[in-house]
Amino acid sequence: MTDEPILTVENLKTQFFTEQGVVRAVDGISFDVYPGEIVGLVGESGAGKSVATSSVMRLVDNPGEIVGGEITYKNKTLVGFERAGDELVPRDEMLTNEEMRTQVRGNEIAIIFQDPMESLNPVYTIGHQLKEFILLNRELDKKAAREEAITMLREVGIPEPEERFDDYPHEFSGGMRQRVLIAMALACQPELIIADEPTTALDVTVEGQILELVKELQEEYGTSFLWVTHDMGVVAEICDRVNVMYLGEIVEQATVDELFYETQHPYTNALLNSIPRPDQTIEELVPIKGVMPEAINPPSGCRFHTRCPDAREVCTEIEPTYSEITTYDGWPHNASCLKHEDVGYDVSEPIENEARKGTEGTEVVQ
Amino acid sequence: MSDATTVGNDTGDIEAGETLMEIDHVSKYFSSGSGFLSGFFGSPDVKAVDDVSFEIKKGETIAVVGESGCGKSTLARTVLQLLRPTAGSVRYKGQDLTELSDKEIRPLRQNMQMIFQDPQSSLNPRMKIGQIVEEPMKAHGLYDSEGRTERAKVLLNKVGLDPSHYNRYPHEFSGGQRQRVNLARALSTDPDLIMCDEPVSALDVSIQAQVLNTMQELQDEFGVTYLFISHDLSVVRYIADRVAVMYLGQIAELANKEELFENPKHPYTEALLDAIPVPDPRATNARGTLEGDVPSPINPPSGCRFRTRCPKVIQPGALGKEPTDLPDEVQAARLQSYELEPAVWQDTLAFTRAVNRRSFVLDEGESDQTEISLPPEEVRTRLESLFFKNGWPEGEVERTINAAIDSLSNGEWEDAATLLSNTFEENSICAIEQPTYTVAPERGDIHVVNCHLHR
Amino acid sequence: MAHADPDTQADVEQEPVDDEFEAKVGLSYTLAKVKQDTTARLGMYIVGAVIFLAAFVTIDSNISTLTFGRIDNFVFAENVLGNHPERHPPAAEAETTLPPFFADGGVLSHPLGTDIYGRDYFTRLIYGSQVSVTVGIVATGIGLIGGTIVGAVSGYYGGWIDDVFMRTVEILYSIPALVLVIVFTVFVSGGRPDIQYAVIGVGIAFIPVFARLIRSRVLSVREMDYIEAARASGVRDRNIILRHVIPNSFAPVLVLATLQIGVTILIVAGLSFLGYGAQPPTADWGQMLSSARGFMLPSPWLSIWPGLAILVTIMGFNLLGDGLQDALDPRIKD
Repeated sequence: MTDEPILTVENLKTQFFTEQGVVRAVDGISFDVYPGEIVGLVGESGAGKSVATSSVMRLVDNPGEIVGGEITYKNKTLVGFERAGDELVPRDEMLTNEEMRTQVRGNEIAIIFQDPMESLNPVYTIGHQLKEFILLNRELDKKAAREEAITMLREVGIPEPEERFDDYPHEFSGGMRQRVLIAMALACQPELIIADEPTTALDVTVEGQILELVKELQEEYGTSFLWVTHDMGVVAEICDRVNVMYLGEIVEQATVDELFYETQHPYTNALLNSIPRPDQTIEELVPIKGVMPEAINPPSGCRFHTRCPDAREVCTEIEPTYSEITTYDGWPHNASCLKHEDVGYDVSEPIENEARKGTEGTEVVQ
Repeated sequence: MSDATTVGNDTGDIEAGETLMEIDHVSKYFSSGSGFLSGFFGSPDVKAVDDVSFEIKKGETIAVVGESGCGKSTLARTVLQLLRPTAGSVRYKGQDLTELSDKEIRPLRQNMQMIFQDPQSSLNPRMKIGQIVEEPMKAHGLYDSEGRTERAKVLLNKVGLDPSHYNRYPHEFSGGQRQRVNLARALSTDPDLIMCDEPVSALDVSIQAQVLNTMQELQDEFGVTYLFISHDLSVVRYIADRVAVMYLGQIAELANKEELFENPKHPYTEALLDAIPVPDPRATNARGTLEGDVPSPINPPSGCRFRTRCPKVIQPGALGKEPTDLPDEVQAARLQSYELEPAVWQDTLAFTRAVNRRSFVLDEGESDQTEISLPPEEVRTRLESLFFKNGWPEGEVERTINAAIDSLSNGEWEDAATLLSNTFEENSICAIEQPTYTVAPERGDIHVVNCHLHR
Repeated sequence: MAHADPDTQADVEQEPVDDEFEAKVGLSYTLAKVKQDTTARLGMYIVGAVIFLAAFVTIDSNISTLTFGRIDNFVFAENVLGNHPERHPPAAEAETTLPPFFADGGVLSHPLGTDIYGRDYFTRLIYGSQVSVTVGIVATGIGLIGGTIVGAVSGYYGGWIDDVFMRTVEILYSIPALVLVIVFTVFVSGGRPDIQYAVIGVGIAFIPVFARLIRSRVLSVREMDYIEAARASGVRDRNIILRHVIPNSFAPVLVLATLQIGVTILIVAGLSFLGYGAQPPTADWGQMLSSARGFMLPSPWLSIWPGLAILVTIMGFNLLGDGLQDALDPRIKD
């Protein structure tokens, strides 16, 4: 905790302006990443994880827009607003799109996507793409770039890197392609790598290989990771700290051990109870009932109250504040649940919601 | 069967626990070429499924697990005769389906239904879910129109959907709900067997649990048998009764769930179990990461298919087993026992594979290793520090390694790799003979381990 | 508590079925989407108007006689329905050819003027729409139905069936459409070409276009899980093709068909112009253009009016086709 965080996200809001209305995909999230740390961003599909990471990279496409909050990377302001009359306008020190492209993306913050096939251009060889990427972001001549590329390929465990240099992406297996992407991300020696579900599309043994590789490389280079995933197993395995997202909000944040063993938010708890385990036989899983509501019209009060097994009357009315519950080893443990607030949760009546009614998946999605 | 609303009372003519289907030495090869010209050029076959045998018992959930490309989906489709096997037989209640024509099988399909991985593409977007659920009944001429509608509504209710959604289209439902529609469709003809191809892989974890629980309830109620295809061992551990682990077209290990997870015998199963990230940060996960990729099914490794990646390959001659139909000199070579210390053998194996994969460098300054030449002594020192930490092998083995070092010092990696591989890997029992063994199970009633360690 | 008793689930209060969802699939939804798009709406109005006119004169010539009688009873009765050029030898003199009403010497009773036989050009133009629309729809229909059957069967079964069907279609495709139709028309009609032969010929010539499109769609639809689900359920191939394959392959074909109607009209007009389509005295736009060919300089409007009619009609179909494409495209996604 002595270091300064390299990435700070405060109250980030990203919205999508669609025909049906405003989708509040990311609605006021705050987290930070310290040097050499792997920070997890976990949640189900639709929770807003990917929108959050694209916001950090300022890669949100139309009709999406970052409408508020602060993102600071080292001393650069990636996103920053100031009030001008009734409106929020970008502050002067906020990087321009051009500056984002030349100064941040690729060389300071790299990103690894879920589908390695879509991230590699099928008409160029692996080596060519890696070399071009190095030439673009580092001041090396062509020969040095080629050697660096081969070194990186070997580093990430590509067999026979000299020969495979001239192969095309389709000649690589999925795991190998993901290794190439990791090589590409590492090649420019970034300080932060955003990994967007990088192992989801891979087989377990390959996933294991990649996780091991990331751990090794992280020790070697000291790179920080922002690791987006839906898999609590991967979180437990690789992350130092974890942010749990639900419906555009971070509902809990803690070190990984705290999160699993001193769970403070009912959603995190429900999530942990709903996953089957590889290491023990579970007689009966407890699913989270219902489906996640749409971010276009989120439930009032606590957003999880429609599915929460602990929901009470007060949860429908008061929006919980995201606040520090405990600290552990110098790290805060934050959660937003009324259980931890003094707003009369204890005396409030339990409500009839999906968790209690026992309906499974009868809600129709919009 | 006259009353459309009565479901699940047709237990068929066999009891729960008896053999419903027998899969007997089934193989499925695909031609790797396409188009009518490929026939002339004799393109090699892709051995997607190769000599697989197992039984499916009435009322059980038997899971087939494996990584992508291991042939599990092909196997399942071959069982259902959606793909016709290249060899072997599939018997349903004693009747060999491979001998029947497509036309003769069609009526039997009402006993064997299927659900799919992708909830998006498994429902026709232009049909209402009611019609979708009714279609199999219609195809087999079950009930009249009203009876079908009535039964479809009952089934929608059973799988946890609102029967009043009968007239809605698939896109109005979430992924989990669509899987429920799939379940209702599969149940509509009251089948004995439902083949489930990764039914929850595309769903969020919390939704997975919902669907898995529903599947279990339906099994309890209707006594249906599931053939459950999955890559996810956690899900399999939750839902299956028996588990078959597949690798490269063959079954590596088959046992009852508890036996397989608590007492895995095959190195591949062990590796697979080690590889899964456990959702518990305090779990001490000693991962022996598997190296390399799955070999091509066009030209799979001889003997045990896992041997190219197996960390426990048996050293040549160690078992004293005489291969029969080989020339004498080859036999002699293969019977050669190096009698290496296990640790030294491990090092030798690791070295052999590293040369094959070129995963290390001799001279750290250079990136292109094929162009450099170094004095053999330097190479030897480097190898010692990289691989042979447990001492240098002696005798025959040392001579072979020295020959390899000579090649390496001239930058001839290819030669070194061939020499090492031919001497050490190809002479192992693992490369010579295909393993098929059964061991006495600690739990459950069956344990097939196709690994020479368990002969 | 972990899972629900199935019986209680039926009792749970459900939100009423939303009609908007009902409409999201099917023709009415598509039409509603088309209406939202301005250009597509324009196309729909043009096509609607042309079809209305064509239907109007076809359904009851008495009504049309009454309506158009005001314009010129004689012209209508005599010159449109049954006149023959021999009775009126061609004469380029200005006295039989009236210019449009806004030009010098034009009269309001013949708003677009008259042709060289003194027939009212407006009325003939209206009657021309009947021929054009019929030609467009029938010829495209032949291509569509033939192509759909060939393409769907070919794509679904694959193998040698596919090879035989598609090679045949490719041979057909490699012959220039105009040559194919002219040869077909001459042979089938025994040397007396007429519009119906041209229509059938054009329809056949367009089978490959539809067959190839349908086949490429079927190849991707065939891989969908619901096709395998149907096969695994024991549904007959015929029903799989009719219920699953064709409905899900049809959207782009519908778009193509709409665009193709325009192309067909143009080709048949071209054939008529060359003398292989509609024969005099049939009021067909292409044939009218052909007759006007010799009088381009003294009476340019004889060429301009049918040309304009062809242009507007084809534009209408094209706009509608583009609109349909937009409307049908995102449907599966939402």
